[in-house]
Amino acid sequence: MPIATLDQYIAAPKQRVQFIKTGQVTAVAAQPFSVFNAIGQPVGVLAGGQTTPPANTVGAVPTDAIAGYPTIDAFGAGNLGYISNVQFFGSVAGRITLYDRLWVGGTYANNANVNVTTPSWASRVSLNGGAANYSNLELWVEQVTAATGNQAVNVTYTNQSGTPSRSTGAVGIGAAPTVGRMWRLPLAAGDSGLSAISNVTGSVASAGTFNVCVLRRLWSGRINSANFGENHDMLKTGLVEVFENSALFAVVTPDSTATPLIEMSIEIAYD
Amino acid sequence: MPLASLADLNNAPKQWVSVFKNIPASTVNQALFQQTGSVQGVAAGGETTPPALTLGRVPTPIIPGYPPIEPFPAGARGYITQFRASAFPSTNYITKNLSILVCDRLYVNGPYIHVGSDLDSGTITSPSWDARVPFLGQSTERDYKSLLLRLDPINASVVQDDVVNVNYTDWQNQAALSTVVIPIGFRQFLPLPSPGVRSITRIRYATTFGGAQFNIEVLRPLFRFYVPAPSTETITMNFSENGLPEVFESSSLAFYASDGATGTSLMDLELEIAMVT
Repeated sequence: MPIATLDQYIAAPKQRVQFIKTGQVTAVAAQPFSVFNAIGQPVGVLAGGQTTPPANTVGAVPTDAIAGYPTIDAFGAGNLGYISNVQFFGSVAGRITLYDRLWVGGTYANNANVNVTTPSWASRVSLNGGAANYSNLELWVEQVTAATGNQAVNVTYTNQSGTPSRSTGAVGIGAAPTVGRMWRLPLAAGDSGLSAISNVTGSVASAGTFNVCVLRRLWSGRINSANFGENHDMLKTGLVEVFENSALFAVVTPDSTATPLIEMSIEIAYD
Repeated sequence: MPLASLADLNNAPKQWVSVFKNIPASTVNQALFQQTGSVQGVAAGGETTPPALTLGRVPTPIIPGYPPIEPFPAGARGYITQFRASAFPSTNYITKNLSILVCDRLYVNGPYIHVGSDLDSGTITSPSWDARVPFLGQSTERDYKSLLLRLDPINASVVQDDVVNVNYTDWQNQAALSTVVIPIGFRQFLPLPSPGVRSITRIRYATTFGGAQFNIEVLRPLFRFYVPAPSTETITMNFSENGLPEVFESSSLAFYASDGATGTSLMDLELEIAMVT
């Protein structure tokens, strides 16, 4: 059941998920990067974001059982889970944003024009046991191999209300993205989320591959200077809901040209 | 009994555990977390006597270097509920931030001393630390997944490109292997391809440089805290911020410090343990 009182939080079973990166990713200052494949615990594979890359015509709804996502213990029948505390540290100033990765497709070639039939991520947006709510979801590109030229990506999708054939337009970063570089695609005017993807098209660049992913924002924190961090309690995390099969995924925006070494301990209270 | 309400916290008997370090620890590398158990102060002298390498040991508070914890009332479970600290970066590092990771040190094996040829412990049967791993809620499953494996360098000869292999059993008691080529800026936590550490079965270490000295240890992180530079304020942390980590009367509290330079800080810390019956 939902955690609604301080006593419920205190009494709730809790588990701590450790997220540690002892390796860095070469980055561009003030730009978001994936650390999915950086050395540490856990470690994943950028290509497709899976241990077995899915066909890019389907993609996959990743879970915590897949390499690269921290393992989450089962909550028990009928229980709901919430991020109640995050303790984080980084060796480089910057920002860490934590997501539930709801869908990842790829890899797509620089000039891809691929029709996609996505599996449903409804179970991962059914908050507090209610109906699926596709609002407040984000659409991102994750560069897998370095591009030559300004990689632009255009995604056609079904919006949060079920309206199909919505489009992001072809959007790049104005430069050739390097490995791990991420950028957010703007949804069409009036859209706040998406429930399916129907096409991925790449253009402009002459080389390189990329993933496309749908993310649900869970938490973010700022490392305000090198070798520092903070503790965010439940009032700062907002007790955002997660699921026992959530694929926790970090996007890191360093202040300088490498992502930080990261130590993050995420408390999940469930009741 | 498990903690169930704010009233439980208020009514529980409590004890304070304090740590005082009046000289800085010298770290072997910038930005590495350094364990401070052996640094002068209270408690001091930790783990300077090596345990038998074939076994290692599960440290307890009666070993020097770990602050003593009073026995809990019969049937009580302990939770860290409050924390206060004043930390004083040493003169040379006054401009540096300080970060401290507080752990229950569940296992330590070493020191291993590299003398020219690659090290291989052979098969190790580590003692059990099961009793120091809390249950997950009301279940009978223990929270092994939150445990970390760490290389504790004792001198500066543990360097980039050295290769560490640790065989262990994971949270499901399945054999697993942690292998790492130490990268630049190595922070000593060894990557676990399968989470959780229930036992250590073998340790190997290959280095391109002789003289490396290190321990292998298993840690249960309890909480972290941060002291911004310059350190003029008292750092406090309530139960919501530290997440109410459970501790045991046999817990060996270990403090790992990093201030981004080749020295840690002077520390004056106190933490409250509520013993809930």
